[in-house]
Amino acid sequence: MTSASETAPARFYEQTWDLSYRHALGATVGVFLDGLRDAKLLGRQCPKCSRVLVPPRSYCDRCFVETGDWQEVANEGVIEMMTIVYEPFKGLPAPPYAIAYVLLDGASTALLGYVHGIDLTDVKSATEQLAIGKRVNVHFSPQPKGDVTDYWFELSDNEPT
Amino acid sequence: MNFDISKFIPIVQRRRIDVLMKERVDMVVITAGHQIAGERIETASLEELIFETVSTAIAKAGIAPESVDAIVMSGNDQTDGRIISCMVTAGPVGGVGKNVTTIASGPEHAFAYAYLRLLAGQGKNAVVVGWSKPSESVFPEHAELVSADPFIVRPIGMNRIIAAALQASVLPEAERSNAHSESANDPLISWPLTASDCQDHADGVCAIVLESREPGHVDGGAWVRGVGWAMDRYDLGDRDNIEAGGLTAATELALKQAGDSFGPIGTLDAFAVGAPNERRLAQRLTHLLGDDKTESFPSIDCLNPDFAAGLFAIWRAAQRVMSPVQPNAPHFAAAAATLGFAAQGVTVVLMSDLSEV
Amino acid sequence: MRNVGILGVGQTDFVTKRTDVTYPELVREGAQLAFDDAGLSMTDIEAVVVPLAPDALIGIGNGERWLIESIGATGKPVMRVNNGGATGASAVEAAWMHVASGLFDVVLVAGADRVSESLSAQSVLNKMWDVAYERPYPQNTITMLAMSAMRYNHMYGADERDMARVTVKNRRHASLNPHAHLRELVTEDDVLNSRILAWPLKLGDVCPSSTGGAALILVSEEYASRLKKPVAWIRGLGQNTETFWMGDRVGPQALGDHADADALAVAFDRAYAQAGITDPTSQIDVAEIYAPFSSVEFHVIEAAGLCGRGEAPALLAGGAFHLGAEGVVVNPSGGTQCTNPIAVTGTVRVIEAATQVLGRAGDRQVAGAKVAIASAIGGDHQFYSTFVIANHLDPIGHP
Repeated sequence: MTSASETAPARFYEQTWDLSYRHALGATVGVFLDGLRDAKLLGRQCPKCSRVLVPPRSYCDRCFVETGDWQEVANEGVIEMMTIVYEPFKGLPAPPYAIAYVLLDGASTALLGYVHGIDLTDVKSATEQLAIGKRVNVHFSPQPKGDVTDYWFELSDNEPT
Repeated sequence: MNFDISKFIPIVQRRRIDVLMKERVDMVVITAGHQIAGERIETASLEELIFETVSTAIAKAGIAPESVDAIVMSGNDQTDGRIISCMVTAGPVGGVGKNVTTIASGPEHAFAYAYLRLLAGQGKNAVVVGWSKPSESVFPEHAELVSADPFIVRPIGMNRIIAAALQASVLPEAERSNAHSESANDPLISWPLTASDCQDHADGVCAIVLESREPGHVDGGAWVRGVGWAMDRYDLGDRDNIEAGGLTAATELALKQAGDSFGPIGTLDAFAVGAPNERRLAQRLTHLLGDDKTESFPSIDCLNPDFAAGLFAIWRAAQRVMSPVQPNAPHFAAAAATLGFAAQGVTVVLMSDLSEV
Repeated sequence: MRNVGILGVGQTDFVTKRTDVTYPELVREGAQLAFDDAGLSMTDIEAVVVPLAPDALIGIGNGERWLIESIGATGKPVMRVNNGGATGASAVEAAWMHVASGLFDVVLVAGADRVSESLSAQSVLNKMWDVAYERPYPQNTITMLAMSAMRYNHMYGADERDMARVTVKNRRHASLNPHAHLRELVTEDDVLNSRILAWPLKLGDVCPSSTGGAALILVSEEYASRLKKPVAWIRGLGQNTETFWMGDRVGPQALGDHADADALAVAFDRAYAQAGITDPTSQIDVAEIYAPFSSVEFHVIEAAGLCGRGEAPALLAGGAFHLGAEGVVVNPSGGTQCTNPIAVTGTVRVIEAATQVLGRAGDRQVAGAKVAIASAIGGDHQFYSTFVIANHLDPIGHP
């Protein structure tokens, strides 16, 4: 086949997969999304390991049991990890943007979200401001769309003590 | 239909190996299983359905989650709408901290792989999980179309029903359809298949618990006596759709493990898209197993969650020997599962309530 | 238990694009190389395991069905593994099970990838995240590992220059490997000056999307003994799975940290226990470990027990892990960072490990290599697969 490739021009056949879905979210996700409309972040607690899972899941994957009580967690917490994206990717938003996992006060697991309100043009300054341990507040959209981008994080005025 | 079983048996005898008895004390037994199925299950997420199915199955087996040794699972990413769906399902199958393998070619292959793992002495149990939730697809047939090769079959158009119809079209005229003729309430879907020949889409999850045990009696268990699987050519035009080469090879492999003394088969569950193809498959398999009197249960009467339908067929067959309803219930069961367009892949599972050969 | 060995291996040269072959033809190329190496043909093969990761990247659903004729597998037992990036290694584990079960003596693992055929790989890979909680965000494999890298650097005081050293080493190794995709030498400053993709990851830190095929043939000890041919023995293997939820890998109640690869350490322990490895630093000569980005190599080295937590960057800066250095050489092939044909990347790790212990690695050969490890990672740092491979069946560890 290598011999053919030396003489033959490359030929292509362009195909697009046209697959659309309506994913059933289940009740637990629904409760969380409804909570966002009321500016509330809800977690569910595992009856075995006592972790408060945020975002909430209907089962604990560590203990393999159904989760139990709902618990509201604080609208503030600390950055546990983050990245700032500078590269454009097809089908994803225009860069730059910052996303972070934040451990909210009262939660055992960290929640993913955008971090807004920071000038991302200077990498050094932006990444220092968003370092692990920095406190952030959760902000909620006044016009909720009903998905998880209805909330985002902004640096808190109160520095960690 | 002139398959000569006498040509086949010498091959089985020649190739039969007694590894199972010689090198291995333990055999593999199905000790429990659970299925959830429905036409459209929209109140629970895929992950939640899987969690409920698996936790029920292992509870039935009396195995604590931390005592599960391995999980083998199978779903179809295009049906699931998840690019590597095992990522999100590894948790709900109970996989955290465990050996998890996704056998993406089909849940019946996942079953075969769990069996191999236990024969190889890797753990004392394994949970097999298969799922399909086509109700989440806006057009489930399109997810089938993308598994057609991009150059020839896809531009022409293909799905499981069209493929099954092509396969049924080469059958003798009397066997091509259940309906034999179209009618107002049984319209042609794709000639020669009418609506009553075609499996409907369904949602479902099936989990089967396999354990390795010393031969003997296991209450309510189904011993796995042989598993065979084989793939036929991709191109329908290259296959012998009458002789079903995949079925013959898969049966030979299963019999190699089960031995000559397996049977007589009392009950058979098969799954193939299209009722006439399934009937044909069941007939061929009973011939290969040397028992024409076997009762075969048509899967068209059951919910068959698309990609997972083969595992559901295996589970149905297992249950017939695990918890017999009648006192003179059969001791030996066979299941045949198919995957791909027009049963490109066939898996045969031989089971009995007895471990003895 | 039956001993299982690697009788033959094959890998094509990896490149960005191959327009002269289709996917099945590419799988065939890799398989043919393995047949030639083993001195076998497809008629000798009793079963096949196909490693194939996301269908969407090659643009065909269940591509394993399409390649049956191309490798002559009609009528044979064929199954396909998809454990994300770990697929190529998990497929070798699956093939090992085939042989160790006693049902088969000769099993082929054959696959290929052509990631470049997808025109939207990172947006495709966004669809691997949780439907409700994660997909609305531009999460992808690069952001996932960027967050692991920043967390590792924060916890252990490493920095981007440490990461750049990994690239420099791997590119030097890849320059000696004719199959590798990225073979040009680079300097630390080249890496540091390359453009930022997702901080702290820069273009110089990440792997390419590679096209090529790879295959290997596993045989039972009885089968191998009839052939009088050197065999690389799989002495141990292990898999383990981490939680899917990255947010569960931080904070005081986390089981494992996203900075580290704790679940991988457990997988290595399982393989080491089977192989009898008691001291990885002295009993292992070569490590072919899956690290698609520079930052990943540090915590994989540590999970493999080749040094303590957070020690890898300083050791690397001091010259360790390089070809020619004392102790374990890490990724003498250039590793995943220089060649990443997703479906078969794990297979290539096993092939390279086997090639090293058989002393057939050419310019990239680690002198006197007897014992090698191989590993792979799939999902979002979630599925782990590990191997210990040796050129003998003698005890490895000290009793």
